[in-house]
Amino acid sequence: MIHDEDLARMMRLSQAGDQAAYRALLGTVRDWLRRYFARRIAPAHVDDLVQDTLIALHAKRATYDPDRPFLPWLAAIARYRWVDALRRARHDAAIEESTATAASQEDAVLARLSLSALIARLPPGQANAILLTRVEGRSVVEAARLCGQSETLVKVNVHRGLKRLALLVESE
Amino acid sequence: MPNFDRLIDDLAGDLAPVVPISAARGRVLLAGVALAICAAVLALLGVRPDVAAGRPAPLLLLVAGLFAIAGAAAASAAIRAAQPAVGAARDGARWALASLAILPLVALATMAASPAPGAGLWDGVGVGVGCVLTGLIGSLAALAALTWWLRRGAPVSVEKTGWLAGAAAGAIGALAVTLECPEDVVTHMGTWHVTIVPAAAAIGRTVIPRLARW
Repeated sequence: MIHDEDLARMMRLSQAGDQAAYRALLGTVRDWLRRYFARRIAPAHVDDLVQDTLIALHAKRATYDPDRPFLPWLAAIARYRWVDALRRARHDAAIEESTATAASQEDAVLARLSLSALIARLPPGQANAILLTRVEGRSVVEAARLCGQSETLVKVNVHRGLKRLALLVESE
Repeated sequence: MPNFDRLIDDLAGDLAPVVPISAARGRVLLAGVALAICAAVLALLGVRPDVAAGRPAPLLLLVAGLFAIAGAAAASAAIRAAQPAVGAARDGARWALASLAILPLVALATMAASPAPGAGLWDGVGVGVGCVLTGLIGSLAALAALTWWLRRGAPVSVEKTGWLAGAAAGAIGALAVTLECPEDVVTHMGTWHVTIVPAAAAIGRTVIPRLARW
C-alpha cells in the first residue's frame, strides 16, 4: 500500500533535485500507474500511457504544490493523459483480460481518484460507447449492437463523452 | 514496449531543481497587471469626475466592487488551475461571475419602468461600443498574463480554464472602464460594461486551449 505522505516527501526532495529520491518515486509511480490504467485502456496501450504520464510528470514537476497531497495531483495528470489517449485510440486493440488488479486493491481515498469514478460521472450511454469502442477496442458496429444504440448515436456519444471527460478531469 | 528502467534513469539524470509554482505569486502578479491596466486606461482616457474629486458615486462603487470581486474570484481559480488535482474545487468563481447578472437585470428593469421604455435606446450605442472596445483591449493584457501563467503550469481542463481566464480578464477590463467612463447610469454600466466579461470569456475559451494544452 502506497502512502501519500511518503510520495509527497519524495516529490518534495525531487523538486529540490534529489536524483535518488526521484528514481525511487518514478519506480513507485510507474507501478501505481500500471494499476491505475488497468482495464481502462486496451492492455497493449497501458505501457505507452504510463510512459507518457511519467514524461508529463517530469515536464510538469514544478506544478506540484508541496503543501498538498501527491496522489490527487498525479491522478489529475494521469486522467488528462488518459483522456488524450482515448481520443487517439484506434479500433485495433485486442480485447484481453488484464492480469493487473485495480479497483479491488483501492481504498476509499484512491477510489475517489480512480478512472472508474470519472467514467461514473458520464451518462450511461456515453460511458458505454466509450468503454466499448475506445477501451475494449470494438468497432462502432459491434458497439452499437452490444449497447442497443444506433451507429450514429455511438459516434455522437463517444464524441460528447470524451468532451465531457475532458471537463471532468479534476472531479471526484 | 517502453524500457522503463532506462526511461527512469534518463528522467532522473535530467533532473534539475525546480521552484514549485506558487498560486500566491500568480495572484500578486495578476493584481499588479490589473492595477497597471486600470492605471493605463485612466492615464489615457481620464478619471471620472466624482472619482477625481474623491467622492465616488454609490453606483460606481457597487458596480466596480462587483467587477473586482468577480475578477478576483475568476482569476484566482484560473491561476490555481495551473496546479491540477483531482477534487480541486473551483466552482466559487462561477457564483461570483453569476452575481454580475444582477446588473443587466437591474438595467432591464430600469428601462422597463421608465415612462417611455425603449425611447433613446440607441442614443448611447456609440459610447457603449467604445466602452466595450476599451474594456476588451484592457482585457487582452490580463489575458496575456494569464496565458503565460497557464503555459508554465499544467491545466487539465483547458476549455473550462479558458472560460475562467477570459472572464477574469474581462472583469478586469470592465473594472478599468467603469473607473473611467463618466456615464453614471445602471442602464449603461449594466449592459455595455457587463458585455465585456462574456466577450472576453469567449476570447479566452477560443485562445487558451490552443496555447495552454500540453
